[in-house]
Amino acid sequence: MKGGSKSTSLGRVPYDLRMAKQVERRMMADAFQLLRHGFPISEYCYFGFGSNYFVDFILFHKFLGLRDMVSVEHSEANESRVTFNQPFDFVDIKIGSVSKFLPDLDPDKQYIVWLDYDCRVSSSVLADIITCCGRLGGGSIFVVTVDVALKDSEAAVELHDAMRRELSPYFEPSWKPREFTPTKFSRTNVSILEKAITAGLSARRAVSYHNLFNFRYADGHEMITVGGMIGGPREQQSLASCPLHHAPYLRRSLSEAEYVIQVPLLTRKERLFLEKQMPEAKRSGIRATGVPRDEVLAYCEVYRFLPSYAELLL
Amino acid sequence: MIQIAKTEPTKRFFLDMLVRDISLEDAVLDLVDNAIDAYFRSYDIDVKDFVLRASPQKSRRKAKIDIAFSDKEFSVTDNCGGIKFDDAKEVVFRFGRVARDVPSVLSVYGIGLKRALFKIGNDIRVESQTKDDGFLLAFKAREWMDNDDWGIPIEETAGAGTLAKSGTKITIRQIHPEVQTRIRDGRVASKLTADIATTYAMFLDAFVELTINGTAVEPSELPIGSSKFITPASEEFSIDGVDVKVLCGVAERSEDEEWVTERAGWYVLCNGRVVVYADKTEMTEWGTGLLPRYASKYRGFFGVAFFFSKNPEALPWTTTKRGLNHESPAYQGALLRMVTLARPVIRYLNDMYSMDEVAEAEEQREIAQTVEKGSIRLVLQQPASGFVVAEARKAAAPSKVSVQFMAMRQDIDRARRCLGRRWSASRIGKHALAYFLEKECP
Repeated sequence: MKGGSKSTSLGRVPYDLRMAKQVERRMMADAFQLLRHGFPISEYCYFGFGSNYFVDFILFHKFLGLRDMVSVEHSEANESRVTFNQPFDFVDIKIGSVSKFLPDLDPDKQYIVWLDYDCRVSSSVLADIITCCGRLGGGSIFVVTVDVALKDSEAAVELHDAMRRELSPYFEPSWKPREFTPTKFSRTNVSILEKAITAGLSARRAVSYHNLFNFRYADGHEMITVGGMIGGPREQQSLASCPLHHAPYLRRSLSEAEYVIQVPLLTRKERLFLEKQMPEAKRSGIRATGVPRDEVLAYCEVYRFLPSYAELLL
Repeated sequence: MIQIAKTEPTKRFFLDMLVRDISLEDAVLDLVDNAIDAYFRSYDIDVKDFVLRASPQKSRRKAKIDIAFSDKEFSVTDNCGGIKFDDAKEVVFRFGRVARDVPSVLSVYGIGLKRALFKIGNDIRVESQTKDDGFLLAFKAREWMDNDDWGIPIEETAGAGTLAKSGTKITIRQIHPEVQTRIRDGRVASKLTADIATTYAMFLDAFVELTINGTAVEPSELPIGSSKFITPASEEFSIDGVDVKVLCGVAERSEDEEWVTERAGWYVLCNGRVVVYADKTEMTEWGTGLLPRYASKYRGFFGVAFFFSKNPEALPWTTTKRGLNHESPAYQGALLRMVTLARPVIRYLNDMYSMDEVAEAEEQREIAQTVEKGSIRLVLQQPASGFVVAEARKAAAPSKVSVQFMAMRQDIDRARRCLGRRWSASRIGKHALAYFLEKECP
């Protein structure tokens, strides 16, 4: 689906080459791997927006063994292309707005739902989140990504007004235009998403939301991802039994600062040199000639999840 | 030093205050509720089963309720099985519910019957017979108010002998002047007929016969639309012991084949009784962000939520049964499910009236043309489903898009000099596209 955008992909970076996005996907896959200690993740149904590339679908099938998958494609014009690119026979492709398919989510099943929009938060995005969270069964994982990039010309005052109109009941009355300035905008978006998740769960008794992800990254465009598990006391207990402390990129509470995915641009030689010293060597001891220190540290954080790209002459 | 502040209710509170919260029509509906309640109780009918699954059972005796009124006398007579003497003595005339209760379907708060009687007049007489026993209770409301005692004399009478002969008759004389004015104004009967027709739509078609001053009331059925191209969405679930069934789709069209705003929106029923009718307000999430603000393009929307419980207090109705208790856990829980089912319908209606993709809009409109009056009972028999609009038509013909744009008159005139004086602007536009396709898009 990729939001409501009608523009073509010409001039954009291909989905599968977006480094930070790929790191995010692989961190999520890594987290799901850890969740396997308490949850039958490979039996889950993955509900996402595969677009033409299905990168997340391929990853989750190959890494985690999921084989019940639904991909929603927003654009009817793109139907034949998406169907052509369907990576596995079991991926069920649905054409139409995601809201049309949310009623199909079975409250008795467990899902990983990733509403990976490439648009900004809007009232329909919030409605999707709220209806999703009102519906997903215990143990399900709900993840949402939205665009938080500001346009150069955008004034905080106007943005504040526009968002207040668009999101009205989920807009905190105390928010001032300063919450819509470049430094605060992503944080404000996290609060909006959190409100929607809470609103979706508000009427449910036995379950609550346990946050796992709060990413911010930019492959050209700044994006945030918020996600976690919906579950009751039993799921909470299982969650506690998973070795999540191995995953420094997780955020168990949305009041913590987000995890910023930073991808340093290193040469192949530098990467190999650094990797040879990992993970035993203390970070402080790692060196690579000429690479700035902060890039080395950033690399230490993401190297397990960073794809390597090379040209193949086919 | 601590003393005690008095909190006991006054009789005046019941007689003069509470009655202000309810209209005459709704007060009469409370009396009808009372009769239908007796019917469910006496014939041991499961209301959920009856509303959701039953086709009218021919063998079952129908409930008959006759309402008659003039500015002198108001009466409701039924054959619904009556009220037992002991229930009447201990429970029915108490204000508010008590621990020992009479099972009920439509009586909730222990206030409706009394408030209705007080609303209408001063001289009140209730007589009832079950198979085994009966009672007569007669009093004047004003006299009761002036008396310190809260009790009302009740006389035990003989039973009717058979269930078929059992029933209740309520007669009110010395009608209050303000009610007399309403009655003399001449519109009460038609308003009451309309209210009863909608409120008891799910009962009147199946097992209740109701007359107002001798004229039978026909049900005003829930206006669900039906088309072979459209499947309404439906879902059934339970929240804290309240069973909920939600249906959502398009509305039926009026005789001149239009959807009408008056009937569009959400209908909410509690134990089969319509509580909210064609709602398009924030109460059902219109304009709150979850559903758009209601606009005429949504006049094809129809949604209904049925709530059932053996404990009527758990249902989301207010004491007047004309509104929803938004804070009810059952309603809160159901609301998101209702919204989830509604959004695809809203999207369909949006597409139909979309400005930019006209081809799709036309197709949706064609499908809309096939919508006829549906039967809620038939739809209730169908299995749970999402909202589906058949796409069969899409493949049938190459789809068309209408192209419209404004051009400078002088440019069109120039083209005419080249193509011919009689060429219409639209023909010139079509020609220009054909020319472009031929020359530039091999």
